[in-house]
Amino acid sequence: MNPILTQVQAARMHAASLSVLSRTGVKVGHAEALDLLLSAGARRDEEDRILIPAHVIEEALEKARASSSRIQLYSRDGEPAICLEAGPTYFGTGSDALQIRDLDTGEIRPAQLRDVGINATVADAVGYDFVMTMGLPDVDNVYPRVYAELIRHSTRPAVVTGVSLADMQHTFHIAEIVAGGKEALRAAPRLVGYVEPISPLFLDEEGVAKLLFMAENEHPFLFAAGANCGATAPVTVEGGVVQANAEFLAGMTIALLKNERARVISGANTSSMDMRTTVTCYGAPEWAKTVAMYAALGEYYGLPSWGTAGCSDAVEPDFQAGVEAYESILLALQSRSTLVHDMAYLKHGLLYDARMIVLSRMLVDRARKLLRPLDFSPAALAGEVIDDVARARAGADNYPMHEHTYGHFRQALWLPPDYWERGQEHTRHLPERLDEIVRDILAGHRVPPLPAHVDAAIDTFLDTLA
Amino acid sequence: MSRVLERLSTAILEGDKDKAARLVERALDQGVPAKEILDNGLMPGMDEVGARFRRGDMFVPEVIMSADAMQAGLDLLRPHLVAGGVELVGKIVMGTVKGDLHDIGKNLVDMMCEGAGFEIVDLGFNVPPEAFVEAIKEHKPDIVGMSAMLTTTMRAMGYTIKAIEEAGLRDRVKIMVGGAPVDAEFAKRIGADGYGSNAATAVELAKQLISAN
Repeated sequence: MNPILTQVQAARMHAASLSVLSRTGVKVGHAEALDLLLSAGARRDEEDRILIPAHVIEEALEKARASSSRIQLYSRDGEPAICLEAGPTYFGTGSDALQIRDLDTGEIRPAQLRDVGINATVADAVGYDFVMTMGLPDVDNVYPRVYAELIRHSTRPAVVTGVSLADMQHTFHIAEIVAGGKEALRAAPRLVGYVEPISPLFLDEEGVAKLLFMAENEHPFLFAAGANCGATAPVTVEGGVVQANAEFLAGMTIALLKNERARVISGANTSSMDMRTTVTCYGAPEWAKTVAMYAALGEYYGLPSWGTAGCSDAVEPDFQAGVEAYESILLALQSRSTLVHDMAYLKHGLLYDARMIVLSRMLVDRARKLLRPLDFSPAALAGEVIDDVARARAGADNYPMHEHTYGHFRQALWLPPDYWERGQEHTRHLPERLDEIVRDILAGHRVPPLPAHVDAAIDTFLDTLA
Repeated sequence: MSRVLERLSTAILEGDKDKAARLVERALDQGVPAKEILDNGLMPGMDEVGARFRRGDMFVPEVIMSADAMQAGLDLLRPHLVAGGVELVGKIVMGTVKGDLHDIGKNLVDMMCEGAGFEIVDLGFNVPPEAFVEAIKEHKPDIVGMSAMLTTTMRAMGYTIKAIEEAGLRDRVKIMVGGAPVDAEFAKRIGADGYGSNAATAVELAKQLISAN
């Protein structure tokens, strides 16, 4: 059960978002989208705001439920990978960090293309369910280039960003090369497009153009506003979610009006603005809370939900990073958020540090163990075992020697990795030990290469962009 | 210092716009010179706001209210200051660069700089380099402030500085930059004079750039 928002409360949040859409409406900077909305029953007020009545949204939601309640994503190589539906939570990294902690010097420096490959290798090795770029180097045509780098170093499904429509078209074209054509990619989607409105309540031309591209081609996508409490949205998390959810609903409606087979993921990014420094917080409890709220809304809509967790405003993988990452991971799992991104982001979304990629993934295992449902079977309640030990039967008068311990400890307990301190005193601190893990991964983990002709075709395509 | 100026400082600190305006009027009625009202009433209030903000005792929404109260006082004072030949702290031409439609951060900087006594000429968002150049010719600012929210549009800051250089205006203005993806290293690389990580430090930076002039 969602610890933050019940289904009854989710219905109230939804009603509040509908009220925003019919009363305040959205600005729409795209002619075709405007036509779609107006023909469906929306109306334009004297301030050029597009007021969308509830029934238009509800009809679109009905179609979205049919097209998107279950979205199967495939690996780079076309194997079923993760299924976005009610229940499971999948964790992935984040995208366009401008800075990287250099593995050799330890210094923070601008991201380079090769960092994307390094981080993708680490993310692939430690078992993230999906990947995002984890670095945004200052190169031309950066978005298709980082996607190419990503799939050369990880076989996981990806979520991709891009500023322009062309960025998205180029990136998805690469995915088509890998899949073996447009139809093959449609049948087995390997990537999700990250599209966003501009909060508050502005659906700009480029953003909507990307959304329509996703809808038309049935590429799974999300329309996640960066609605930050106190900055681009009301300061209360309730108000922030009402607004950003309204923005999502407006975009979802346009997409489903364009193509009723459009595949859409619900939710948004609602954190808070730090009231001293004005940065967007990535480790704030407010963001962990809104992820749970969007998960409840997703459940209410019958749609997969977008989430954020495992990240921090700290600059190092330190105490603060651990606290913030774990808190958000725990809430994302408890609320059953579907697609949880930004794992391992540091420095409020500016920095990637490969050590944090390892740490955040490990914290998922820990949280999953913590949240494992209780088992009321005789074996778990262990009456027989208690009796055995008390009466010194079954060859054991203590628990360590009892077969029950041997048979159950792996399922029953969280078994931390050897770099976690448990009694034994380590001579080096956690960040140093994480650094070793990263080095071991990079020395040993091999991601199967793309077929040579595919690899070459990607290069040929990227050359045409230069 | 007169009682009314002390109360004016407090009104600024408390972010009480109406009270600040009333007290400026009262001080003017009592014959206190405009420059003295500015220096001993409004400014000490805002300086204390700045100090408390840096200590972490005040937060951005409170600073905005104080800046707003300061602005209300300044609006009443400005005609008297101009008549008396008193100049404001300085003039800033501000804008979000070409290709970028985000202006909330820039608006915060506008507001807080105005609160600190600067005159702001706001060019809005999606401002092409040539519009910055024209604004420098027209308004003769001390400082040009540029903002970008996106990693892709931040490059337009460099193009704008280039355009200002090519127009032969670079030595007439100081340039400060800010926005989510920008940092001090980037600011240096594109040839800006300074970088503000947030609205409050932007104000400090603007003051420094003026005093360095």
